Amino acid sequence: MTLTDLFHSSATRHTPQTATAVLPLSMAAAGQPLRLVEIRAGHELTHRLAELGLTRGVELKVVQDAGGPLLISVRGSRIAIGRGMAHKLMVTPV
Amino acid sequence: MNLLNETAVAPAAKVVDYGRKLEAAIQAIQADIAAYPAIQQQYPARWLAIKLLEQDHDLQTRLLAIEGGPALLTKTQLAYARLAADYGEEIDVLIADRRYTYIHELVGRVMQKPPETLSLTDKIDRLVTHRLLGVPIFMAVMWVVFKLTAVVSAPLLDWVDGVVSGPITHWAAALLAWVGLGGSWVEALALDGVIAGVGGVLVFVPVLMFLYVSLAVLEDTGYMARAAFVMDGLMNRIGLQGKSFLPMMVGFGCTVPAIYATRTLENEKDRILTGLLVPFMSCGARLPVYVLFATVFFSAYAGAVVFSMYVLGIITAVLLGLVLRKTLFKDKEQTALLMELPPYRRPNWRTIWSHTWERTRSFIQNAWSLILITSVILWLLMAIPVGAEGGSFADTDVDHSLFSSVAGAISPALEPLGFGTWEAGGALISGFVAKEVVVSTFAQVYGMGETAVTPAPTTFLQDIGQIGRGFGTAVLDTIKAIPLIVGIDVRGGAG
Repeated sequence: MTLTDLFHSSATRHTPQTATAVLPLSMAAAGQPLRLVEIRAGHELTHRLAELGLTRGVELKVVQDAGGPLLISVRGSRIAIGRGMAHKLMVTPV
Repeated sequence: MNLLNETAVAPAAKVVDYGRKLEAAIQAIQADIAAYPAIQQQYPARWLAIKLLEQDHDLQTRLLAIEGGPALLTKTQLAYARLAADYGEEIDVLIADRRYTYIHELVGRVMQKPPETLSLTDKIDRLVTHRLLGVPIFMAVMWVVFKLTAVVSAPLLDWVDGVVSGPITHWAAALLAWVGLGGSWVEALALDGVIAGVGGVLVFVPVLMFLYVSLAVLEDTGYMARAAFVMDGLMNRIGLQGKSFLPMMVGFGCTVPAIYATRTLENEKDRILTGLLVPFMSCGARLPVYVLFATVFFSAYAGAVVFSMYVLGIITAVLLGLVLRKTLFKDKEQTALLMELPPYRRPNWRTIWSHTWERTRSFIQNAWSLILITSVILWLLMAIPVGAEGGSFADTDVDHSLFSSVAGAISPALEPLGFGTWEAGGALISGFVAKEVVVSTFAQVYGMGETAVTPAPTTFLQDIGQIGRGFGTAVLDTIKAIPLIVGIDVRGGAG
């Protein structure tokens, strides 16, 4: 096994992880089913999000993104979420 | 149907299972709570245990005041720390997650979901939260609300005014004459002080009820949340979020409920900043004052002047918002919008009525306390003579009353503003209590407007009949005024 082989094999081994791209909710495409993987926020905000059903692992969808706040669909309800806050929610396509 | 009944009779099925470790912690805290009867009397043990694990701040402060509370809190903090070490995640988030899981399972068992289609709510939202159409639609809705409160309620306002200044005033006069107080200072106090003062404020009840009904309908249908969503971008510019717009909107009707409405904001600084800006939205009570000055000083352009006063208020609010954001609220974090947009619903009239009545009642209670007291004080100040030419109590010229002395004392301070007369000073003082009092104060001190009408003597039954007929006409006029919202006048030339 050469050095280049090693390099390639390690690269291919990492591919499955990089394929499931993690991106901020604010960048996600509307209509695409998403999973919430990380909340980059303090306790207060995490709590408020949890009360609205936005907990880690939950599935959600961007219903509308017209430049201002986002309109998302989660657990059967519609939630308006400011763009700044949407930057802090990391999602991955399902 | 059977399924529903069975679940209803089995209370155990309603308890959310929070998982083994959490349940163990809940049980442990419940056992701790049992040791403090004072606490157990006030709160259900399981509920309290869960709330304590959620670190509910409000409940923690309440517990500190109860016997045994501090000791219990210390114990819970230990249980909380142990759990947090196990889960490495915030417990409150975990609890919320378990609840949602429970709901999801339950719903999955009892409800068949139709295949996902675009619901009616989504269709309406497409339109009202549209990037370009959202704001114009919102403005149109507001236009209808203002027309309802200003134009449509006018006949009812006139009716209340007629009842207060007509029948009620002369019934009170007749009653006082019957007990032998006719023509005395008591009569003057009751008629010129109490009835004129409180009645002057009560005439606004129909206006407020129209406003409150409109706001309740907007809330109950779910549109209010969309309004906040639509206005979020504009509000961000002055350091606020979309939700702050709702109190400001209420502020055009009346400042007091608008300040109450700031309670719906989660962030304390948002509440304070919004509360500081709300008073610049010209409330309904300020309109008579604007109209009075506009007609006196700018008769040809009165309408434009009044409108510009509203605009001036909004501009001042925006400028102040910008200044405060750069100074006092410099360290304030930009709070982002985060709210649920409930599905649209047909408004429930019972809910609307209860909202409307609750708010109207608190306004009327104010009239009977604060405004009653002010009216009496104002009357007393104007009735107490000062100096040799003052005359006697309750029979004094207002120029020589205590009121003119008090107001005269502050008038030099108003000189730089260009209105250093005691009349203006006095009106300004009384305006502190309620803005609309400015107009009635001017009327009283200049002895205008309040022309002594000597009504033709009527019987009690005639009065009742007149009130009833008046109400009927007012309701009819109100209904006729509804098309005015879109600019159609069906009331005929007399209007």
